[in-house]
Amino acid sequence: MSEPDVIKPEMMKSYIWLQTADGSIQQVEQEVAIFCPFICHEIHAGMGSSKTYPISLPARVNPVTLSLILDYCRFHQVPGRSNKERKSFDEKFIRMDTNRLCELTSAADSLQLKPLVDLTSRALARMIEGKTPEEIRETFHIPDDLTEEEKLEPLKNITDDPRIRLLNRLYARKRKELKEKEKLKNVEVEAEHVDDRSVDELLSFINGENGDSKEVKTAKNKKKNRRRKEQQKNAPPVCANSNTSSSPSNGTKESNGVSSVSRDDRVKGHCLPNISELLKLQDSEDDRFALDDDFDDCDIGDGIDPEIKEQIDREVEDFARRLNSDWPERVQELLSLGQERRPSLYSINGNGCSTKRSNASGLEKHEK
Amino acid sequence: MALEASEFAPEDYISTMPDNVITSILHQLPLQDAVRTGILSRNWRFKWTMLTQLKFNEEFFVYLMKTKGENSLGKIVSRLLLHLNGAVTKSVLVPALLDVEDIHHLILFLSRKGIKDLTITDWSKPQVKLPTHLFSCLELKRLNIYGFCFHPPPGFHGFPNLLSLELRGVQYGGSDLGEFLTRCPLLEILDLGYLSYTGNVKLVEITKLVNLKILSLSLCHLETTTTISPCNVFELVGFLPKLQELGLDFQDCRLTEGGATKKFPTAFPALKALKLTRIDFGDGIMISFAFEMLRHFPNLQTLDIIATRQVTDPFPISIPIPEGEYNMRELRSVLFRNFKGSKNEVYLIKYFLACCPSLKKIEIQCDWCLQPIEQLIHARKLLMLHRASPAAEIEFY
Repeated sequence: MSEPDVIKPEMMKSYIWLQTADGSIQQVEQEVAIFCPFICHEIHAGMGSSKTYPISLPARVNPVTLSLILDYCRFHQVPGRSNKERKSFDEKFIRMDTNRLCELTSAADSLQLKPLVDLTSRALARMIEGKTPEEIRETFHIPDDLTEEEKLEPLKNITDDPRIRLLNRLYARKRKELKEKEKLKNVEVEAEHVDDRSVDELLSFINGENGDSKEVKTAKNKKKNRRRKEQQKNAPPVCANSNTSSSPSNGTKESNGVSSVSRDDRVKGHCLPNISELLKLQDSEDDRFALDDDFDDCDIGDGIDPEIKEQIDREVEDFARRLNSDWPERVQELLSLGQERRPSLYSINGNGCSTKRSNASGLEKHEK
Repeated sequence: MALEASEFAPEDYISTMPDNVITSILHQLPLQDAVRTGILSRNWRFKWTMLTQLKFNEEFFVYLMKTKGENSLGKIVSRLLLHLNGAVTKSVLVPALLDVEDIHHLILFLSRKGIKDLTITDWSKPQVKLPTHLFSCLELKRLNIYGFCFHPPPGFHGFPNLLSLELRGVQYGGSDLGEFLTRCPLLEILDLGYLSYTGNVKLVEITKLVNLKILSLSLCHLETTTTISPCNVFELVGFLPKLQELGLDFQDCRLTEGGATKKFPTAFPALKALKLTRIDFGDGIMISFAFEMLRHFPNLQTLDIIATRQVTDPFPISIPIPEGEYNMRELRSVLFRNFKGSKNEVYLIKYFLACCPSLKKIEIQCDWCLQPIEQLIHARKLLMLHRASPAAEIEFY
């Protein structure tokens, strides 16, 4: 076998072997193939001289695009062509189906054939320039999978169109209202749950059964809702105007919610079953405050809230009376574990109300 | 064929192309179109933030003006920059409508993004002073400034990577231009055309730039004892072995004929293009100076002569132009601007036609002061001149 690096004398053209990703091997004139830097390097590394050692082309080069690329190389590697000829060849060359043009660009890029990459990417750019998004999607079969909101998000409002700004604000307000509606529903549902379960489980506890898992969960849900609601209150003015990139900031919001929940979980994890009622007591108190908040803020006045309030009041008093019997021992545990809980109590009160709702005082209130 | 199956269900192939290819496509779009691709689909939302070349050119600002109006241009540009992800290696700025403060912030931003190629144009007067942030862009390889006031801070250590520097129409603040140049040792292209500078540049300082391939400067900035003679120029060129293009501006310079008859020992084989700007054809010294140049650059292929626009002596002393002595074998193309039809100019053109066997094209652009009828007369005269090169085309407009 002759050396692959030596170009043979004029009479005989030397050929090299190329293998595409699908396994098919073909023979190409060396002078044409070395127009591609990738192939050139491979030849210098000693590959491609025989059928058993073909040059493996990168994955993006399939037989169709390879033949197109070789046509291009075959034309342009001839030194005698005038600029006009080359230009006219190029113009005819890029007339093909859009997807094939994209494949050709990727293939040329992986073979490091810069002139062809420039030519094809310019052609693709011409197809994008000055078109509306719908036209571009049509040309390239791009799915239209942004939600209406995402399309109008501040991220895209680079040109500061006042209509888009207005729409953003409306969307933000709508979002907030929807979330609050949802949360209220959750709260009602859980308030009712709490009421039901508190009675049942108090009884069951007093009778010595372990029912705290459910309690913890409901308390956790309420905490999460409250926290989300608070963030909601603070977030909209920020959200509507200076959202640099929505996904990361959404992520952090969520994680804030989650981390607060997990913190509560951790605290509650330490709580013994006999503390959980107290927690619930405080929760129900919080509920009352929370419901007040809801009532103040938004326009949703269902008339359900006062009823629940009354229910909760009743149950709380009930519960307090029952606890009275076991009061002295419980107080110790309450006070020690309540320390952990107190900081979160301050933050929860969204109204900015700085009432210090310590465990003891809360109980005292209801004892009367 | 393998593709036909996929053509039945048209694929969104373009979104799966490698990032560098998509970036190269986006770079070929006007900036506003590139940013708007963010709205195409979920996949495309942030592809434009990979842009590394920003063209804040007239086209972009015209578009913004149409859609938004003049007031929030700075705001929009800032917002756009906030989204960008990676380095910005190349930028073109035509910040004519931005506040000076915005320009400062923009340059500060670019200085932190590793900018390598910066072109910034602003022809407003008085000239805006470029902020010192510019001098912390130490990765610059190409710096083109048009207009503006450019003042390197004292003790500036130069741009270590700079290959190309153009300061056209720039006002250079300070008096250390020569020293500044010596601190950019890799320079290959230096263009100081139409520079306003009150100081001088020593020849020695320019000769330190051994890699220079293209040089353009004003003769009035060269420091010499009294006047400049062709020898000074040859000295300069002698120290720049790689020089291929030389541009000399004759405005406001004091020339001398010294060495006009003496043949300078070295010819300069590398020089292929010569551009002589703002020559006053009424001034005999200038013309002979120009001829000295031509004599010593035998491989010259391109010659551009731009006559001064200023009113010149309508009845200049005509200089006897020696014929046949100078052999301009390689000269292929001559461009002559602001042709006023004076005797000396006509002689010059006659000379070129007669002595340049390889001449392919001679282009003559008339000065605006020439009336059409005068243009016609001159054109007729030129057509009758003897041509050494049978292929020579004369374009007269």
